[in-house]
Amino acid sequence: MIDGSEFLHGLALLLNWHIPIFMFMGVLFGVVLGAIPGFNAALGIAIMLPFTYVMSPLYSLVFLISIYTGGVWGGAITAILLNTPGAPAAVCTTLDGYPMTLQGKPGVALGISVTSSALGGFIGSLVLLFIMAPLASVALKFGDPEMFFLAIFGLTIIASLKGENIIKGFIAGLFGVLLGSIGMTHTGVMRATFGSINLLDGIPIVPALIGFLAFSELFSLIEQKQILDRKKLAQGNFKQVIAGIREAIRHPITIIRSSIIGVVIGAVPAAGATIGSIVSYNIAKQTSKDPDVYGTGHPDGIVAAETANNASQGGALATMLALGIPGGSSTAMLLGALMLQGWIPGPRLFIEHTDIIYATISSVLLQQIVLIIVGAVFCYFAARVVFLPTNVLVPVTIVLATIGAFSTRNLIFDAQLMFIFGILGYIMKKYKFPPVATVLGIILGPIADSALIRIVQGYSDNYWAILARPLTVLLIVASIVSFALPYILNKRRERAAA
Amino acid sequence: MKLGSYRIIKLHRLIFPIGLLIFMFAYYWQIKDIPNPAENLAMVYPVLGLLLVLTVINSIREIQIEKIADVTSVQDQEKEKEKDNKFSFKKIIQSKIFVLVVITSIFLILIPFFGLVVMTAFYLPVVLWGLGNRNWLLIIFLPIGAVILIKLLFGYWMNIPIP
Repeated sequence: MIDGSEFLHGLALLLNWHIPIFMFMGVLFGVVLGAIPGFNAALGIAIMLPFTYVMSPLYSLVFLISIYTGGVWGGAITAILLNTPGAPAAVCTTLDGYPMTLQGKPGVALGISVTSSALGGFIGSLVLLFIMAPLASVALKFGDPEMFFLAIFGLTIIASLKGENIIKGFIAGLFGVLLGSIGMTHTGVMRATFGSINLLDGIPIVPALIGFLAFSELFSLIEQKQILDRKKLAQGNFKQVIAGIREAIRHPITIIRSSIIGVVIGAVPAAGATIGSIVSYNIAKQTSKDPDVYGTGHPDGIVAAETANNASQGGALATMLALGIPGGSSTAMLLGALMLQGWIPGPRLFIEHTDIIYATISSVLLQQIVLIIVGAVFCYFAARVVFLPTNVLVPVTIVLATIGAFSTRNLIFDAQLMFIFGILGYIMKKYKFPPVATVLGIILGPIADSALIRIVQGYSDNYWAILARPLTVLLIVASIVSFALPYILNKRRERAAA
Repeated sequence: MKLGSYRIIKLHRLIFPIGLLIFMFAYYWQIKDIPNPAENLAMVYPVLGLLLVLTVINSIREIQIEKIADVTSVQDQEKEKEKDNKFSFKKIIQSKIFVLVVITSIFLILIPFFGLVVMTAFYLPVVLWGLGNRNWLLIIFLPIGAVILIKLLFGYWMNIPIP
């Protein structure tokens, strides 16, 4: 539990004029970088890491975690305005964010996303403050069976992303899973690399994401003058952003539920913000009285996705600070920053530097306020992107996306792959196969696949032993319900209509 | 496509399913000799099987067959021709998407030889012109701005390797 005197001492450390400056700079840098397709918080931390060498440990942590905070939300900006998720964690934000933009409400969608991100981040850091150690140990109980069924549960969202019909949704999703299985398994076997050494690590997620979602949309947009006609704009940008901030607060249940989902999944190593937001969106949709409105520009969809991905930051930091285990690339970079300061991450960190850790966690709470301020200003200007002529916007986005795809592994192959996926995504869209289902398959497929290989290795003598794990059983039941619910509701509606 | 007095329409709807079947076949060819398939392909085989079944079902549902009506008047003949040409390659070649795809393909193929900065300086004016922009100030200054941004922001400031 929280140590009162050390906590107050930590808070006192924040009463320094350098802290808000580092927070503003970090959040702003994270937001700008996150908004560029293919660039994410981890890259931002990596870029700024060498500069923190000369800083004190507290300044360094506050600055880098601020980049993390801004970067996670930044991915939502292009997801909402251009159907281009800046990072995988913003995939589900496109589902309702982009339709809202097309309805003439880009500012509202951005306002909702920044507020729910900040609220998610706030709840996530509160959890971090009070139950960091127990949360981290619960997260470590997530074994392979749990990871497998968590990924399957995430994949059941495809059942509701049907496109023209449910079969096309499943074809698109399974195609993604198959693409995701390309590459070398952890047993050292090469699968379907077609002789390319660039595919040994599998299909890179960022180029696939930009290709299937962004490029397919850019190709569709090029025939029209701009994304949104000014006449279609429901109200001025500023009013829209304020309306969005107000709208987000009207969804307290989704915010609390998605925050809990985000924190718990965020704490699981290798799960993180992406799975957190997919699972949160799926649960929000399945538990809604009117699931059909999701995917059509429904505010609750943006709230569910954005709250969870920022709340996952708290969970990921809990595992990193309490156990010294990085859950993803961003926390791995932060771990590197701690080591640069000569600190050894793990349980002893709390004993040796209690006040600084409390100060850092408290700064995460304050960063959410900074995020709302920076984000609201950014939303006001960013929303104007939709009025740019598409014959200018599209080529510029292609150049930026090329740099983004290249920067992941420093391979031009990735940029070329992104372009091929773009053409493929465009064809899929034209014939009503939802490309977003393929992206979900590429993200979740490899997680399910490697967990299943380990399950076969560990449980081949007795597969029934998996059912002795309560969390696994819970996830199996949730997956079945999530898969079957759309059909049951459809049937009921058909009967009611008849 | 005509089959006696019947015609298969909307055949272009099979483009993606046929491509997918070819990909599945190529994928299977790649993995057929993998050691210990029970372990290494535990998920791949069920996914491949299910995908095959669904693709075949979908393809059967997509195919539409209709009887060719007795065509007498010139107007009817034109209508019939129109039906056959609904998916026109000519239309595709004349579209902005085609222009964008061709120029971007050349851009991405040539980057490894000339670098991103040089290629951007050529790509942007060509693609802007190809997409119908006739504002010379934009065609000249946008590429210059983009090149400066790439060099300064990504190259020098962020120190991100640029191809």
